[in-house]
Amino acid sequence: MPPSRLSGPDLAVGLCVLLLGAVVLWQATAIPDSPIYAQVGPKAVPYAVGAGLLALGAGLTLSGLRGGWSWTLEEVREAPPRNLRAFLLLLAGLLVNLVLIVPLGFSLAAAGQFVLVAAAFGSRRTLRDAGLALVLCLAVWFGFVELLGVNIGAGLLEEAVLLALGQEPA
Amino acid sequence: MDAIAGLSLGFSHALTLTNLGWALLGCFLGTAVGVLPGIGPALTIALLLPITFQVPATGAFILFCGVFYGAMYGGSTTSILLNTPGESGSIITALEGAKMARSGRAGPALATAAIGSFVAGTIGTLGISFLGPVVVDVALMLGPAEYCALMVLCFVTVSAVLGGSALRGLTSLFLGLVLGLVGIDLQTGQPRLTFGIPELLDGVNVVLVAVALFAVGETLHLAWRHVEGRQEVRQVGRLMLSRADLRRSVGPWFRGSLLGFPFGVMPAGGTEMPTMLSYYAERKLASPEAQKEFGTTGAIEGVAGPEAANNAAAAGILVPMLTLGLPTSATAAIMLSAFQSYGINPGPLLFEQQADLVWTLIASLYVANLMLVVLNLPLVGLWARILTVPQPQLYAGILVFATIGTYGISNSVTDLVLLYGIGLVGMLMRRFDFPTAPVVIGMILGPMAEQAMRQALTISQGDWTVFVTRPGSLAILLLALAALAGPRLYAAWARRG
Amino acid sequence: MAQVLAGVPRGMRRRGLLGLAALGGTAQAQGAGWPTRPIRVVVPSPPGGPPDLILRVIAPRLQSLLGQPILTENRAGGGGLVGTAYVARLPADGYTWLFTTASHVNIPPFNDNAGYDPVRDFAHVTLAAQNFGQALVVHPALPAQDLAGLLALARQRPGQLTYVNAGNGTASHIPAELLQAMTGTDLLSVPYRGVAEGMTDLLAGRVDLFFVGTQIAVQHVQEGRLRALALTGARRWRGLPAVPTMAEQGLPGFEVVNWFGLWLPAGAPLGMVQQIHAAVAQAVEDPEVRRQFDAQGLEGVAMPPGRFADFVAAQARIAQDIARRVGTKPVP
Repeated sequence: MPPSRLSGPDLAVGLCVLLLGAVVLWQATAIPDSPIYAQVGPKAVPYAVGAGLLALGAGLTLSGLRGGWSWTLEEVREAPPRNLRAFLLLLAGLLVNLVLIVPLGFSLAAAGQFVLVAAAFGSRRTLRDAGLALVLCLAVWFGFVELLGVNIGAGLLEEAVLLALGQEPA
Repeated sequence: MDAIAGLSLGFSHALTLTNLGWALLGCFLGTAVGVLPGIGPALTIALLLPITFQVPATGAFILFCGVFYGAMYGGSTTSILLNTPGESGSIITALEGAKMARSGRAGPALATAAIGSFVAGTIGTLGISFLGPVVVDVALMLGPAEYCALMVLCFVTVSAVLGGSALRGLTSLFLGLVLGLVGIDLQTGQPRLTFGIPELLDGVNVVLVAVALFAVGETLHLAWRHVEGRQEVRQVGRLMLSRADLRRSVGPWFRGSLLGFPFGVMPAGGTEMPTMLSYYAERKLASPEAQKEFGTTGAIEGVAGPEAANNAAAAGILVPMLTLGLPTSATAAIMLSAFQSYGINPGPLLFEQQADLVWTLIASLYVANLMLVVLNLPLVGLWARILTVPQPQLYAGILVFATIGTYGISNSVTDLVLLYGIGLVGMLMRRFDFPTAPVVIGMILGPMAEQAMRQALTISQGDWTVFVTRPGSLAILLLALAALAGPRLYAAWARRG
Repeated sequence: MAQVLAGVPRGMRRRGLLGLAALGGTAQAQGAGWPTRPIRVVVPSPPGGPPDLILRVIAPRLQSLLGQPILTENRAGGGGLVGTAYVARLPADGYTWLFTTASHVNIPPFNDNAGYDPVRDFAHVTLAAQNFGQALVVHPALPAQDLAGLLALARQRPGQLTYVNAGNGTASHIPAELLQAMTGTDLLSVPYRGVAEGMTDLLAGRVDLFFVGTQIAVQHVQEGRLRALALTGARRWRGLPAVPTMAEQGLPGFEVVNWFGLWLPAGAPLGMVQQIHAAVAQAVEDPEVRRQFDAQGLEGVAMPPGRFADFVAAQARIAQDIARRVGTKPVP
């Protein structure tokens, strides 16, 4: 049985799609008219895509007002309760990587991410995870640099290890 | 020199101990880099270029061909196991492959991909040996109008991945079209939807979006619904193909290969379109029981077909490079500059001027292909065991893996923000039952179709009839119409009869 | 993998960029003063692209000449804008260099917010290498045997002869715009994603002309599938000795070649700039480097810093003129 009243989350999704369509249309008007010869200008397709999104968004919004579609989804009805702790830990992991990868380099940032993500999925052996992650990430970094000549963001740790190795020439 | 004589000459060179050694090294390196995130055959061959200082041309090209074919084998591995495709040609493989792995059928998925790669590689190499110059002449006849029609045909394939609701599926497709619009408009040089961010001028990378939606989004969703203390233990299951798996794979292998090769030969073809068409075809052709596995537990046809198409297309890319000197992919471009470091200019005269080298190269493709299937089938068991890593470390590893693939090549934090941001969108799409595959399809096809349409119209000086007056274009458009309307008409007819 | 690589000739690992042995030994032998730690060279295009490949040829020599490891960092994006703007904002301490192509000056004028000024934001070290220019090729069905014939045709059919444009500001676009500006003709630009797609349409006769790399064109010209009308360099190229330059055919001063240069952020000490230039000059004289350049249709140059600064300024002005001309073209 469809619920008779509107579905908040589903309505929100519909409105987001409407908003996206509006943003695309707004951005399309901002594309300068090109002086270069063009039969179909650079705006035509963005206008069409924006209009399409508005139509689809309207359809979804309408559906949301009439009870939405989430109630039909088996997965949503039978889903376990949401786990804010795990989700936030994971988000924190992503954030840590974003913030640290430039100042501290790849290995430290990625190891921080690894520990937080593992904790999000219930790992309690944080120290072991950290050790594992550091060794793994450093190994990957060295592999990429030494064998492939591809430098994935060198930072403090990488330079320290490089220097330590440099003192005893192979 | 005809092809048979050429091949026997080629094999007599390729089967020496030194050259077999180069091939083996190439296959090994290729498989390794195919598995590494963000590292493809183009970069690997670029890194190996300095050996052209020391090694004779034959040895170097045998090595490069091994890397090239090896990377194609390795490319599907991460798609299937971790849902993180490494190149755009293996995105479609991830659709069913990752689902098979989740339902304990990683072994058969990897095995069908490996054998499918062998079948496709063999058919592709046969194509290079015997059909090369002929198909290239046909491919040259395809212009922007035909390419535009081809992309219209490919859009039909979206219907195979729309999922339960056309409204939500099409919304996903349009989201992909929006992402495809981001960047500099090729025709006029104007930036579109870049919001003044210079990193967006080159557009959004489709592999990044696929990894974000498939792997990052999925991981976020799992965390959101994570039940403390409950550890899912994944089953590795049987490793080899059962008799039924084999029966179901053979057709897709051959169909995928035959579909993929011509696309590879087309200078603007690429590997993505044939994988989509193959997926569509296999989904429509599958038996009713197999149909139920598509999109749920993972159907083996959906791995075998697209993977074969991908590899046959990749092999086909060598044809325009060897016969016209045209590099139609990054890898071909690097191989071309390798030829040039030996003072050889590939082109129409290559087969006459460098018959020895070319035929040895082709012969070594057969050798590499055989080596690779022998090398890769035993690896299936090893790879599949990755899934037995406990859940926390497995998902943490997948995210680090995705980070390397994104950040490693560009060193761009903007790309990481995109990866995680689109991952969040992917999680919401998962929650609200929006299919993610149409996003990728829209992203790949949208820009190509727009570009081809506008090229065709510029060349025809604005004449829209160009799409129906050119026979090739008209034929493809009619085929698209048939693919769209055909099944419905057939159903209606069947109900009446 | 390390073990497998160990069996491979040294050249392959030469690039293996840390060359750990070099790190310990030579660095200390040099004593105090710059450089005392690894140098990063930012290449604002993907690994495997032309500047990346050229840098990979000379980097090992620079590494041994300067006594410090040289790490390549590929920061692709925005046709080179992202990586270049990044270097422009860094301190001029000599530990971050920029290595890129003529797009350094050719791309910014086509973008409203390029993020850097190609002349003022950099210390100009040297032009390391350059090619012999592009070949102007046409489909044989086009009734033009030489440049004069082509121009006559273009005047007969203004705005109708089509040319392949593989990206604004690239080597296929700049000479076409320069030709139109110098001769007052009007050609129609057809944009392509890359050289291969454009070449396909040219071979099939769907577009009329293309300024394409000489190496890509040479076999098609020899076989008669394409006709080469002119070269855009200052001198003829030995691969196509019968093809005259643009200047020879009545367009004196028409010279467009692709070149590869090295920069530091603005404000770098002159001594450091000269030291790097001297190292590059020595590197491009290395016989192995010369052989490699030669096979790729390049020649080592190592233009001195002062002349290079003037050269960059002049090239930037040409690109700005072209961008202005394109930008003010009336909409048909």
